[in-house]
Amino acid sequence: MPDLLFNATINGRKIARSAKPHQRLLDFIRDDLNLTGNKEGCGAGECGTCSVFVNGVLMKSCLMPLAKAQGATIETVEALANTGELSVLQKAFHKTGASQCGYCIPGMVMAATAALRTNPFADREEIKERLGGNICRCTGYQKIFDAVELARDVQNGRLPANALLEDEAKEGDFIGKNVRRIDTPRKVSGRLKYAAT
Amino acid sequence: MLTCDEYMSPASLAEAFAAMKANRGRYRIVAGATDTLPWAREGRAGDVHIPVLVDVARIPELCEISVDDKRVRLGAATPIQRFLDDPALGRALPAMPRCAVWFADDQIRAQATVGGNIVNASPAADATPCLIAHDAIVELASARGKRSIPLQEFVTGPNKTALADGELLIAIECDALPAHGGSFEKVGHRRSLVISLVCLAALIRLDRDGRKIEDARLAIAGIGPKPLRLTEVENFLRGPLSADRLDAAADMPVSLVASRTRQEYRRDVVRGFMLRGLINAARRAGADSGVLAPELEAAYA
Repeated sequence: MPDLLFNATINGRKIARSAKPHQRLLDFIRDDLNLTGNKEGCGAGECGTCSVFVNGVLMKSCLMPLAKAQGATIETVEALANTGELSVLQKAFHKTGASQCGYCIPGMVMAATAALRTNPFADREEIKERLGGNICRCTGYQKIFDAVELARDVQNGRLPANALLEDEAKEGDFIGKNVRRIDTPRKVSGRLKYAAT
Repeated sequence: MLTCDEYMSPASLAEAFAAMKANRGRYRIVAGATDTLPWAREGRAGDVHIPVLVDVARIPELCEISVDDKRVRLGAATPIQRFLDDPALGRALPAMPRCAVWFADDQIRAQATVGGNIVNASPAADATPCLIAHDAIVELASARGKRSIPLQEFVTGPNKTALADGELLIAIECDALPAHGGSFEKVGHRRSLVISLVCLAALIRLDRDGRKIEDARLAIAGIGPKPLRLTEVENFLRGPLSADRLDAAADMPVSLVASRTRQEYRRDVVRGFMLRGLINAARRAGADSGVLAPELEAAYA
């Protein structure tokens, strides 16, 4: 049983490792490279939390045999904030309260990143369409769409960068308001090892 | 889980045929692999071991596309996303971009291939009826040579095709129909990822005044063991464009529903899709606005 010698550039780093010939890209990223930001949700291509960029195109890594990514440039969710600072989109997810249990969020952030890379002016309908391959069971999606619209407007200069900062809380006035969650930065950047906890 | 002993990615047809010959009876072909991986899971095939997987998605002949005003040639490994990204393909195959929108999500469209959709021969395949409506011919190759057969004859039943041992689907050739209006109607629970309960491809070309149907192409899937071309309806439709005639045409394929489940529902859907598909295709073909009854358009389009 010949092992596969797998070469790729992952999050800017060149790697060459032997792997099992039937491994999925998802298994390799998580188990062999310990990049656990992207999760396995359904494992059948339905939920999208395993989405990564392969040569700049968003793919579901649970559906991709590793050998298909031979020689490719791959970005996982960890690549988006690799300098330590969250991307505009990740900050927007934080601002709008778009991350709850956090299990789908790595995939949502990736799909949203892909959407705004493809069309920096995408309207809400197009954003919905482009996030159609990703499922979230907590948020009801509205806060996620709010986050992508907010990030789009900040990126395009229609809103100032401080729109991503927390609203100043008025005393006792929090019912019906989006509240920033303290664990969101770890969830949107993939640093959290165990989501949904 | 799907396991294999070897994953081969041949770089040419000759290499692929050599791999197939050397591993006869022990290999399976994959292209996008987006159906194979979910198939080998609990609830479907369970754990599956296939000694050799032969991935044909990087073979140059399977990735070539050519389009002119008359003909389209699609390499079998063309990803579905190309029908949305390539304007020339969208013009030549007017129903195909609409089919692609309904064909899974952004991620899967980038990986899933048109040839894979055909060879899997699902009774509910989305791309197959679209291409059947374009009189598609499939080109099959083996180490011994090539042959071409109509797509409609290639799919012989649920998950069954005319592909012989050692043969590969390498390309699809079909009519370019840039003067036709196209529509693709599909129903299921979730647009991003759903198997069609019914899907219909409709293509219509009108005369210069937009009042007469010169050519109609209709193919339907999800209602029986394999996709069907609706030749009888097409023949009936050639002639004046009118609400009454569309209404009569919509009834014609209802009796063809022969699915294993939900026949009554599918009959309702077929009638509705026929009207919606024909109206949408006729509009996009430049139908005279006075010809289609407004109440019919309001109800179905």
